[in-house]
Amino acid sequence: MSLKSIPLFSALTERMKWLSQRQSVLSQNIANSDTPGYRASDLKPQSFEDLVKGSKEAKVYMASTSEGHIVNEQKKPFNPKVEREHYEVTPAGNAVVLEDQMMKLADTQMQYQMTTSLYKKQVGLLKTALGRGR
Amino acid sequence: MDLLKSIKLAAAGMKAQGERMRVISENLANKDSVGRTPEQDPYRRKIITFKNNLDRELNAQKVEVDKITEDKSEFQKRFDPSHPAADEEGYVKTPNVNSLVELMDMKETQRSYKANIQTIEASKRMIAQTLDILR
Repeated sequence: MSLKSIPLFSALTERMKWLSQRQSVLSQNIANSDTPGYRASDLKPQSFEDLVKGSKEAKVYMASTSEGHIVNEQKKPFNPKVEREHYEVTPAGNAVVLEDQMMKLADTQMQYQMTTSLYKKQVGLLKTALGRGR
Repeated sequence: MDLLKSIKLAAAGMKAQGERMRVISENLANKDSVGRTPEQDPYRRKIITFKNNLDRELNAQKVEVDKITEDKSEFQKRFDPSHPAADEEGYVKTPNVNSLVELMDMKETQRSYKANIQTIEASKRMIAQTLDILR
């Protein structure tokens, strides 16, 4: 049994993956905040349903025994999407609102902190169950 | 890893902004550089443009300096007949640098640079938090 088969751990891992990818999307937006014609993008919000679905690992994939076999994609990474609605576009066509991006960055950070704390708490619970709790 | 990727992206942004700062300081420093003879042109303002370039290694849109071009707008004129570079009517061509525009650009550069630094700090904190789980 790996830690991944515990639903909460796997959900938290998924969440951390999503948050770290969002962080890189946001940093891409911020770095391009003066590039003409650049439009900000963001990830689709992760729903609780997705987290719960992600924790189920009951799917069975066909084994690929030859290189010609099409491998079933096991887990798709989260795709960044260019935002359609902008409320501020510069004359050069840049649609990155720095304040907006910083807000999202702070939000991502807080969520990440929460996720890692929950993870630590869960590890603590397991330690308690093992009889060597703090 | 996504967090390291975000640090690299922000660093590329900082590099581009640093280059922009250099161009701005060049413009500002040469604000009064006029020619020596009436035929000689004074300093021409430089413009920097950015582009985003897909970095295959990072698989992300990295910002890069596109090119540094010259501002083709007309030179300003100042009446100063005693100047060696003055034409027959007594006007001296002065650079097409507007210090107000440059200072505005400088402020924007600073703001973007700071935003990139904050991104790096945020990513760094997130990595530290991940490592904290191990403890």
